[in-house]
Amino acid sequence: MIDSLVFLVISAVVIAGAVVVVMAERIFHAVLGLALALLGVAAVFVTLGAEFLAVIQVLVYAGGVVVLFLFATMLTKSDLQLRRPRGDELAPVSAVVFAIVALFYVASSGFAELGERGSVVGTVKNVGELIYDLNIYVLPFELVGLLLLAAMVGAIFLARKEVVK
Amino acid sequence: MVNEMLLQVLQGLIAVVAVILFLSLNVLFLTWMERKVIARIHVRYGPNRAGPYGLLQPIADMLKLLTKEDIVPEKADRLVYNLAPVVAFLFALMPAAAIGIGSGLIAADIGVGVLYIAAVASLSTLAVLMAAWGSNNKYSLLGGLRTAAQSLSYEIPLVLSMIGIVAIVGSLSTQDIVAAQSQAWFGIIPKWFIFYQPLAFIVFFTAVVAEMGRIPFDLPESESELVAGFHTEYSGMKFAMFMFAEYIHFVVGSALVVTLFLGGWHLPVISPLVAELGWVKYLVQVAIFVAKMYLVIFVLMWVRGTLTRTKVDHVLSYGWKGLLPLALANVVITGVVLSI
Repeated sequence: MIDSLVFLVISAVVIAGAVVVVMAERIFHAVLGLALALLGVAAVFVTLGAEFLAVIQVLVYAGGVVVLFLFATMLTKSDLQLRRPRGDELAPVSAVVFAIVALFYVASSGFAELGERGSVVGTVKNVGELIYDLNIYVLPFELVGLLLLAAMVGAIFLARKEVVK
Repeated sequence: MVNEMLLQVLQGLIAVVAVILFLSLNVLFLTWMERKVIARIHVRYGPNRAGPYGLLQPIADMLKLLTKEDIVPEKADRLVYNLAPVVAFLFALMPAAAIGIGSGLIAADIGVGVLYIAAVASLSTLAVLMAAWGSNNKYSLLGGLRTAAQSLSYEIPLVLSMIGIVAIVGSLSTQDIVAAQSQAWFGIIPKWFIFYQPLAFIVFFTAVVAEMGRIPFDLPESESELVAGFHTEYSGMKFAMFMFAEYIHFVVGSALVVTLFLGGWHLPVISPLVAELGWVKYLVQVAIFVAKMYLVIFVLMWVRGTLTRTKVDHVLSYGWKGLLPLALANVVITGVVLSI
């Protein structure tokens, strides 16, 4: 009982954050809403026993990505005129259509039952053994690392100023 | 069932109150100590009017701040502006939960302890950016930008320098890390990680000072260029909350240095003597921990009284070109030594 109550509260926070992201007039508020939603997702991870994932979520997304977003926002037009255009008359229509589709999906398939809570614990040890097990994920993991490195080198190449002779 | 739940909630509440009480008392004392120490270094007296040796100065300061007018700039983003000090205070408190001041004397012994501390400590940048943006002031904005750049740069060496210790201990929990430092060579020379990981200690200590935003890395609020940086527009209680959060960072950062590198609540000769003595043991442990913490704090104040502020571009290039390679080298060396 208490588990589902906690889950409901956290979900409400995540959804509120997501709504702020979509509805906020100022971009800075939207980014703060995103931070709220991401922290809420981290809390969901904690309730599911995936503590390592939760901490990484906070460290990388809330502490890193959101800060970079805010950084970028501050480098744009500095005053409060930075607002998104209003007047989208079709917005309520699309919301209603989405609600109907989502309701149909839920009604037809129902929610999948979650596994026994705590049966699989997302500790550092478990995650590490999975990643570095030669037979399971080590190759994909290393390849993703290589891909990210290539992306970073590419970004630096694009962003650097041309050296004038 | 209901009783058990109630007991759990009660335990949690007690832990939270204990952590806040411990931090508040230390913060109040620190504001006095910092002014006194800096004054001695400057060959001044420092506060000496309120109470013996000026010890009641923090209380006088608090009353003053409580009675000050609360000012909100006309063109501020009111919601963000008012929320920022609260968020700063909240995120400053969070890391303290995973730091123990005695064996078992910890609010939450989290399995991913040190990683949790690094993660929630990085969140306080959010509060600074909120204050900087919400104030709608150019000095605040510049201070906020500097904070973001600085904390992003120094977070990486900070986390990397902890990896060596984590690899030796084989656990991320702060309790396990301190327990691993309980032994001593010949009963006298302690087996603290400062001796196993001197390079990591230098990197970690420097990065912690940068994350706290203290001299020589106090660019976010360098008063000679930016008035007061991100909290230029704040007054009264909101300003007090920022100051409080800043001193909590100071306490937590010093406690983390003690936990990771200086053996936590262990001291050779004394610790084995009191190991069998019931509650006295805990009292001695807390005393040892607090004494070590104040040693670190004193060194940091000494640094503040001695060094000058670094230029902003130097701070960033030092972080990326100096500390990061050192931290990476430490990870590699530790890995090689451990696998031999």
